Amino acid sequence: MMYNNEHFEPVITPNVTKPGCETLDFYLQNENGYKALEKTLKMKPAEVVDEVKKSNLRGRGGAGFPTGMKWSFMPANPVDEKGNPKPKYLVCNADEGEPGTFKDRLIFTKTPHRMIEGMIIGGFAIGSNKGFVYIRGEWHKEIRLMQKAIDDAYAKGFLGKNILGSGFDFDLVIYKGAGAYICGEETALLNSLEGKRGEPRLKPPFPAQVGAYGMPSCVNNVETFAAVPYIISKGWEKYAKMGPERSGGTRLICVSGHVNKPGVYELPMNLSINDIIDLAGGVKGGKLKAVIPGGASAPMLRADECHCLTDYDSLAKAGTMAGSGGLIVMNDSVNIVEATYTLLKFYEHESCGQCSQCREGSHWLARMFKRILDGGGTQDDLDYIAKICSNMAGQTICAFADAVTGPALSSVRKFRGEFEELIMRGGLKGVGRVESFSHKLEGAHV
Amino acid sequence: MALPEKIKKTIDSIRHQFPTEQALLLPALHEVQNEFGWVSMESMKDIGEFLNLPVSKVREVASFYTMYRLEPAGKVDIQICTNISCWLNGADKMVECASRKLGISVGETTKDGNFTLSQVECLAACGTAPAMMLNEDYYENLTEESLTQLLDKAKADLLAGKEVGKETRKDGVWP
Amino acid sequence: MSNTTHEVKKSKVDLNYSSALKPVQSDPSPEAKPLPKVTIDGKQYEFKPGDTIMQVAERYKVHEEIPRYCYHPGMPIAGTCRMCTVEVEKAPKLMTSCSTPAADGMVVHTRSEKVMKSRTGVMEFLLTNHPLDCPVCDKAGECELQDYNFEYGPAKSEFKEEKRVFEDATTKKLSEKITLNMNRCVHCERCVRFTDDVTKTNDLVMVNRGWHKELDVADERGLVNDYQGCLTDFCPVGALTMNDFRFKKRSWFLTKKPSVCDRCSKGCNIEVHSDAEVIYRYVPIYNEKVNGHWMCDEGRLSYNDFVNPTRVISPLMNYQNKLQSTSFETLIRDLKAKIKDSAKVDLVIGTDATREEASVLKDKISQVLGKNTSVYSFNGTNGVADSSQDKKLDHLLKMKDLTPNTKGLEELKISPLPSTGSEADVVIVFRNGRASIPQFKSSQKVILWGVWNLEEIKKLSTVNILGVLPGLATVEKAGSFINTDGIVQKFLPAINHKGGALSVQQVVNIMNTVN
Repeated sequence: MMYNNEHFEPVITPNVTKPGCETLDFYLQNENGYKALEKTLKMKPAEVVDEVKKSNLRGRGGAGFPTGMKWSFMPANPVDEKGNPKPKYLVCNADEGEPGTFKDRLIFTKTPHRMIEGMIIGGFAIGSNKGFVYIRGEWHKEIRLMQKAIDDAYAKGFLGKNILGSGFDFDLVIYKGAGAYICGEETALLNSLEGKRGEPRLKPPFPAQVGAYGMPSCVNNVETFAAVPYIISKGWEKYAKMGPERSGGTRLICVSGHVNKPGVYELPMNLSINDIIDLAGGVKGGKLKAVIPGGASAPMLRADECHCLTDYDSLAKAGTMAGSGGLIVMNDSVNIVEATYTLLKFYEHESCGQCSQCREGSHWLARMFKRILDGGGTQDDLDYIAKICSNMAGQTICAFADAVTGPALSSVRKFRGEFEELIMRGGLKGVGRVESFSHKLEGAHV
Repeated sequence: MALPEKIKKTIDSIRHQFPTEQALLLPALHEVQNEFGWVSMESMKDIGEFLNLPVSKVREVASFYTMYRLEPAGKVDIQICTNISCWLNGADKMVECASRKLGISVGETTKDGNFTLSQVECLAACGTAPAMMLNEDYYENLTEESLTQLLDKAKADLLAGKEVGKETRKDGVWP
Repeated sequence: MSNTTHEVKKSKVDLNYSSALKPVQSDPSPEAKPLPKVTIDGKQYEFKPGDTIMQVAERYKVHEEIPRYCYHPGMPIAGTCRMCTVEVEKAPKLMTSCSTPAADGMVVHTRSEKVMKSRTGVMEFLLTNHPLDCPVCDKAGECELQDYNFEYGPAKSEFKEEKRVFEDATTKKLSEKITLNMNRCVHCERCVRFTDDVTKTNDLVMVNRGWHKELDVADERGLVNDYQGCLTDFCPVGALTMNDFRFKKRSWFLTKKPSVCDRCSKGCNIEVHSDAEVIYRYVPIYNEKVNGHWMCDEGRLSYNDFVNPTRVISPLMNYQNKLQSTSFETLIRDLKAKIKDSAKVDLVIGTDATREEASVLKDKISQVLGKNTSVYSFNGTNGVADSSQDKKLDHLLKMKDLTPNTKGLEELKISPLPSTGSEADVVIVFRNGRASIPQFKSSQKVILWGVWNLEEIKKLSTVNILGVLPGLATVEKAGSFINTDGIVQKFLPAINHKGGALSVQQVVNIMNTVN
């Protein structure tokens, strides 16, 4: 039901509906703008890292790695072979490409300064004087808004040299991406930042040792940075108490699909999926059939499994993942095989093509699903999907291959009946459905 | 034909922000894409010369990312998202509507060279699905009527000689 | 000066390279720290810090070879094919042995069940889009995809979809020498890394991403590097093939014997592939000190000079102003008669003669001819007269001196022919087809000896040629060269000569017996 969590208060989105909320003046007047930064500059970097660690803030990009721990991996005073100090870089991953996720766009258009403040604090904590914001190239408007916010912050002395007289310098540069979902992966982003193809790198070495331009780097998501000012100003305990053990704070859940009020909702993590759908106005156009709880890579859940709570551990126990927080709701008018095929087409298009399994496997799965939709499927295919997925997951450079197996495997496991119907009746035509227009033109957008 | 001076100036103005010259490759390709509407082999060679990169590196990057067009396209690129959330909300009806209205299928350009229709992946506008981009502008919460109106307006604007799909450019500030 | 002697080793099965790295020697002194050890398949091996698991396994030839597509010891590590993954205890996932550094105390299993399953998986994925071209593909018989599939691959494929086809790139000429079949490509990207990092010419590029990734030349110039043949050596499948060898011979019919390339002073180690004494191609053999893993295209295609149908392979005598076939005895008798009254005889040995040939000629020629003969060496290729003028033409292997044994003749103290040429009445020119041909004066009588072809002889139409004594080509004889770095390289015959030529020693013997 409604949040009976007495600790909850919105961290990132208290004022996003108010006009002018993206300007620096609004942020300074109404949201205690840059006060957390003032407080940080009087602390020691190790203390800042400690605060964030104790707050249990977990990465909001999709992997959910504890942010404080990530920051503590950065070397203190790295030097190269000649003994010269190596610069450290802080990188913000604003390449939001996970289908179903649109929360970072909200932060950019409504509270960009919160993110900038979070980055400056992060830079102070890890000892970095330079930050890059890697924004996906399609967001022309958001890039201009962010550039304006950065310029305003420079003008007021929150960025640049000797910030607020503390002696700490921090520069922020925007880098425009060019349309590749794979660049949302940490090491692929670093490669793209260096002007190369966005292909993930082998790990080890990790970005904390060899990152952007060969220097130690730390990559975090937009929402993660936006949560940092609150943690510093209100204290780690308040943030940690808002969530269950080991994951503190709130999450921006992006509800989309067949709901009446799609949008971004800042919520505590003790709600169930059903609660969230109710908050979003309930299912539109039919009864609930399936939900993808964490962006396209998360295995889907049936309607009867949606009582599951939405914190990281509960979702992991239910066999899915919290991911990027994109909750996609599907009603019973949806053919699950078609929906999964839409996602597999996406993965086939976005694979970088380095690893044999991912390159060939994502293509194979997409073609197989198309064949089942067209009526050429057999029972063996269903068993073989599991075999293909087991050969792909966990054996590649990055987690893209695992992400492909998320929808592919879960759709077969949980909705096997739909597949069998298509196989027995001869595809979509056999069950009396019109084939989706965009599926007809498969391959044309390549 | 060498790289236009204004592109060179823009790239030179951001050189100090990046530790390596190769990092300027994506911005340079964006500038060329904005200026000419596509990235030709000539431009790739010019960029390579300007940034001291071999043509193979420029070509690798330009063909890897979807935003860089390697062939000339229409003046207005209609990019309709057909990923999961938009599809659930009827994106293929939008594609069909646009295809009917313009008389072309996906991936093609109209004969007058004005419009190109493409399907793209998630634009991160899922809450306001179905969504599309007209060049650089987002248009969300599409319906068949609103889409038709947008296309009509775009046609009229093009006839009047105005630029379409660059509403966000009003500042002239990079990026 | 010869400081090291190398016996050209007979190569093992694999075509691409052989890691001739010696086992790491531990320092026996008491202060030295013990070398770290890694356990691979139950046995412990010492290694140098920084070695990857694959390098340790290769060096000690552990078990059978760890299969790989994208790894090549001469190129930067990619780690993308995922075929070389091995199981490392205490690591959560399978690790690529090509890129994972070995650590002290690490325990590795290269043939556990998980690993074999992974290899079968990779093979299945690679075969989904690979065309069934084996019956028409040059690479069959020496194809890594075939070999690894035989060992690790699934017996049956369940792929029922349509295979991807690159219509414009099914038979695409990348240059005069190389043809690309993109359908066969497994995207190991060895070729791109080679042109980026080894030849540094950046003439190949992989465009697009995902399953559309396509190999193409960087721009309209096409392939411009001089090592294009190496692309076909290490391409694990038949995607890149050599036009010179295309459809000529099935690889399993080829006899493979090692030798040394004689196209320039580098002396790259080669393997001669022949069938029924006809050479079909050269491929490089790995030699750490001489040519590494590579060889240049000119050397690779230089075997054509020896199978050239205009090569002189029977003795030719000048009879009634025409060069006519005869026997060695008849020719030598005739030559001896014609030079009896000449005052001065010079023997000019090309710097492409082997050390043994030059030594025999230098010691014996005066005696067997019965005339006092001055002996000189001659090079003349690219204007080079002696080894001090030799220099590298690129950062890899190509040398200015296009003969293999300049230093060898210098070691025998044979002085170079003066730049004014020979002043003798009779000039005997011995060369193996590589050294240039000196200028002759119109009054001189010339005897040609060694490897000559009719086109070269046609160019000497104004010269009074007394006869041609055919000799054996480098690959047809045993001998040794000293290369530009002073390394002595010995070799045995790779093919038997099919024709009427004889070795220098045999001709000298005949000269000795015939009056």
